[in-house]
Amino acid sequence: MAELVAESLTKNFGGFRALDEVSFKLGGNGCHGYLGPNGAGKTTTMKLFTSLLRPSRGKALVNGFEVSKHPTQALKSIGALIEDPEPYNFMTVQEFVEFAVRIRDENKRPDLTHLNDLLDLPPMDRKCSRLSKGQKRRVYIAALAAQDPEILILDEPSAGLDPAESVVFRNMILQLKKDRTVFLSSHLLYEVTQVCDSVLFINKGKIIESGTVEELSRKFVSRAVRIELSGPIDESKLKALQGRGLISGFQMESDRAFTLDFDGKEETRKALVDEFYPLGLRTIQDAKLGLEQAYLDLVK
Amino acid sequence: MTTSNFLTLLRASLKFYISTRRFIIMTILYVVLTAIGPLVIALKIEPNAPDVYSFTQGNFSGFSYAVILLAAILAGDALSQDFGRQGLFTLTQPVRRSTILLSRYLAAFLTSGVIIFVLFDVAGFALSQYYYGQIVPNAAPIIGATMLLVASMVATVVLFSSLFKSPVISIVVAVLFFILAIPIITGVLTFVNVEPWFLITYAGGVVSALAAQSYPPHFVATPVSSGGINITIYTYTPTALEATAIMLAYLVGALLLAWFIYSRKEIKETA
Repeated sequence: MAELVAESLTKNFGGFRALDEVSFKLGGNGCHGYLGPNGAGKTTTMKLFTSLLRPSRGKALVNGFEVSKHPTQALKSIGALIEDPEPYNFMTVQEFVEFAVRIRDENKRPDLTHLNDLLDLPPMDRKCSRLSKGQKRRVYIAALAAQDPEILILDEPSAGLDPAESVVFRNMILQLKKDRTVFLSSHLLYEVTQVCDSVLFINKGKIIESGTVEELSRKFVSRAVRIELSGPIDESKLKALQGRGLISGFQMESDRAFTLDFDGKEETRKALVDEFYPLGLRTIQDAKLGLEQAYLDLVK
Repeated sequence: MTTSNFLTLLRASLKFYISTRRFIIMTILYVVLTAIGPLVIALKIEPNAPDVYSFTQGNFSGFSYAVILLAAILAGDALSQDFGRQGLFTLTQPVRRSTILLSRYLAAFLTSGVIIFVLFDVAGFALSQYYYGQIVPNAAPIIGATMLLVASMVATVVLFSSLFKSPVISIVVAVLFFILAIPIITGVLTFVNVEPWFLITYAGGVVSALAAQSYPPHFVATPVSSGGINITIYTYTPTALEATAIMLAYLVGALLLAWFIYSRKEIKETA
């Protein structure tokens, strides 16, 4: 079974410690999210697992192989999209995908039809230099998928893509994670919620929380609700609630829809329902995803 | 290193070099340069060399710099291309960096070597056969020396390419170093009586020396008087053995050093 293990993984850049004694163990089929703000250490971790960086201390292990000592064996199990990679500009789409497969197994040929169905690839005979950013990303991912690695390491795969392309990637990750380990970093919490089974939070080079998406969503309950009424409401009513300490703030969307910030406690939520029920309460729902709340709480 | 991924990489690297605009431009440039001599003779602008030896020496005059320019422009980004976005694919594949290095080196050598072999060796000897009905007796050693010079120059340029993150910078620095720095050093050494055994361009002098009717002496001191100033110009010609040793030392030393740097290179930020 595929396995990624970090043992006290530490990386210094000069006097700056980018990664500080990070330890975790990921494995099995499924998608593991890696969340944290910019500069938290996500890309550094992924580069240590793909031999692009060497650890200052500790170990990155892929299926038991220490990456810095046995990079070739470790990388056999990995397909990686780190930062903003590009397919080779001098090759056509088909040549690049075939090259990606042959570099690992000379006798293997990619199933281009299947990949095209999965990713809606640009024309196979088009030079990669003539592709848009989104198309290049698609071709790159197609090459990774064609390599069929046990582990996929994806560093913000949707970054810089338009919403339609992001949906294509999300669906593809959902497909790929069925029979492999996907380690995915992202800023898009919605994306993580949609595709990940578990999540690691990293901030300032340290792992600060981990668990399944459900566990974290339960642990970090939303502290904002969106309310919609059947009739208009005056802002003074919301200011009064704020004055009473029931809510800590509010944002109006329209005269009958607004978001309230509160302490997240269940009794406060019930009190809010009681307050707005007589005013024609139509809907009340969490304004933030559980994971989004967790992210905000953990990195603040 | 497995043979299959070495060959896969070699094929890809050859395709890369042959598809670059600079390969096409350099090929055209060198074809034009090769054609100038016969054209000048055909149009009777200049007389032909008096014998096959002078003709062959003329064909290989400045040969080292022709090789340097070609090697620097073609192979200047052999490794530095991996420090950019495309390297994020290459360097995360289960292939030893030594395999990548050797495939890139061999592709650059083959590409440069074919141009030099066809346009300098084959064309040069074909023309001497056409003009004089014969070629110099040292033709085989000359071909060997030109190929060894290409091999060691390309290795040196590959070393340069391991030092820089940007392909453009590595190409420009390699060109400037060989085209500007080395001639300056050589010029200075002409006056101070130091044998430039450490310069690859000095070793490259073996090619035209082999073309001479009798091999030039190793050392010549020529007193020169001009405007009341007396100076001595010291000229060294490498022996065939010495030149071979220098070129082999550059070849092996540069590749080992390039491997040492490249295999330890970390990709902190892509160029």
